[in-house]
Amino acid sequence: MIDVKGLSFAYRRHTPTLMDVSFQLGPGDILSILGPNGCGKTTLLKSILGFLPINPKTVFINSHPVESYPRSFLAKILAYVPQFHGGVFPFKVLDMVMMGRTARRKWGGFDRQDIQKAHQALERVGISSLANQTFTELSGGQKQLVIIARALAQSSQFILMDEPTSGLDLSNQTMVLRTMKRLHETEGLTFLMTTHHPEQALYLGGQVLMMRAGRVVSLGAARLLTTAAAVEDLYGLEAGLLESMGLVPACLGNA
Amino acid sequence: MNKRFILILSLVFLASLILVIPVGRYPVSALEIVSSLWERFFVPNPSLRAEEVSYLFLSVRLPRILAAILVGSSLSLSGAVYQSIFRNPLVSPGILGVLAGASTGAAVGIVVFSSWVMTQLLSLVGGICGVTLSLTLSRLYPRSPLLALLVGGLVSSSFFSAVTSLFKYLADTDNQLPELVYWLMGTLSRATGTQLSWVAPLMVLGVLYLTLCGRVVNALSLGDEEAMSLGVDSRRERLKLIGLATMICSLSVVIAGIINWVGLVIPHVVRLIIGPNNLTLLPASAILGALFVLLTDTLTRSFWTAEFPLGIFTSLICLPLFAVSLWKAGLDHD
Repeated sequence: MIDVKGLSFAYRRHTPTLMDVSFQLGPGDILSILGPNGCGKTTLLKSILGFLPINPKTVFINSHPVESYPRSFLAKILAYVPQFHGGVFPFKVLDMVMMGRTARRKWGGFDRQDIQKAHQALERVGISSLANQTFTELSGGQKQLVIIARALAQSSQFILMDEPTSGLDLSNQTMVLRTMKRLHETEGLTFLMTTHHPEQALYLGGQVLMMRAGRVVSLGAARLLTTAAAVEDLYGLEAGLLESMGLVPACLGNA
Repeated sequence: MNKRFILILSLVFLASLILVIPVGRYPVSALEIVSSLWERFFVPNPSLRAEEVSYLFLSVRLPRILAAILVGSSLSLSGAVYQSIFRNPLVSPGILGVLAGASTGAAVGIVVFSSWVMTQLLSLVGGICGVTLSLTLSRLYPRSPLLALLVGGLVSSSFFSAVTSLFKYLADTDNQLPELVYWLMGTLSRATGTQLSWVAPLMVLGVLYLTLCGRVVNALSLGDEEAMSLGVDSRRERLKLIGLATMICSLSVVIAGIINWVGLVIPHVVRLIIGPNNLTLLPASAILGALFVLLTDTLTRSFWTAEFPLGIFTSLICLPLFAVSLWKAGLDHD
């Protein structure tokens, strides 16, 4: 269980990025964090992952404060799919996925079980054929699937994804979202995802947390909360603008 | 492929080791060295020739071969580690200011203290100061950390080079200046058993530890946040790895002075052959670096009447190697 209790955070004094954010995420759930640029979505994700120096006892992972976990132990509970991949070297896809097993080993390299887990992760995401290809030569969508496979190889309870479809074309976005939905439905995986796209939150189902200026605006079932009016309000648009521009996806209009 | 490459490289290294032992100004075969050592240690009243050959091997050739192996593996391995954790294939001990800092330390040791012990200690301290200055300067421009690191390294190198030049200017031209200049060109001719007895254990431990860190170095090569999410305490681990890489690099300066290019080019060549996975890249870089310096040193001390400084030859050989590796990398990219 991820339990966020009154989390506030500021990169600079007097300009808080997060203010009194609270929510819970249990095993097997999906939570999409929706909101405009700069509303604190990524900061919230990084706070949960323990990347930022947050106030103690504001984020609990399985009932213990996140700051109390050693890094290697936390990696067994939380896996992370970043918005941008930071590597510059042309690793093989299998090597990249195998890195998900880093926290499982204390010394030396990886063993047969790690290799098996990495192959299984590639299979679960449906990209076994890419195992021996070079990561840097893949398409954006394939790269994202490899990073998701790495998160699966980590065998963690929760997978946290920062705008997993950012910068991808429609076909690659669909590929990533369908994979997430399949993994959630067939294997019961838990996802916490930030996104700019309300239709993605609706497609994945589960819960949605809407944020604006560092605060939680609403939290509840995605199919109930994600309406055209709520989205217009969240992004500060005129009422009815989406509909007048023909930009209301069928799902939003019907909600 | 990768494990096979390391195996082949290890066999070539062992074969080269056996081949270079007899090479030198004093002709003596490997078999004679073995028999003389046997006679020297296990036979009462060994012959004069056996004593001579044993002395030659234990006091001159063995320290030099060990020094070549330690210097080559340390420079190459630390280069590979730096390149991966700074996520920049252009980083090397030379570019980070380690070698320039160590040179300044040595210059102070030669000119101010006129003592080899102080020269060695101060070159170690200088190397640490060089990399610390580079890292500190790079933090002043956090927007582009990699560019800032390269600029920081260049500034640090220039600063320490200037200080070294100052000491060259102040040095006594009859004794200190030639000593300093020759030492800065890089040579293994001063390697002695006594020196190696305190330097070698630290270097061996450092090299062994770093070659076992491939998994962590791989994670760090993805950047801080990804490394942390994979279970690596990036701040602590990076500090530890930079500290160890700087230590073995500075100790190589203690033994041999400035040997340029090895730390940049050898990891490049290995990466070109077996890829960037540090689980194999690090041990392969250490072995190839050792092999390269061992063979180059044998060349410099054996094939001409006068002994040439090793640093000149490593630069002359590494430059075309670097050009070829860049060209090959360009072809692969196309």
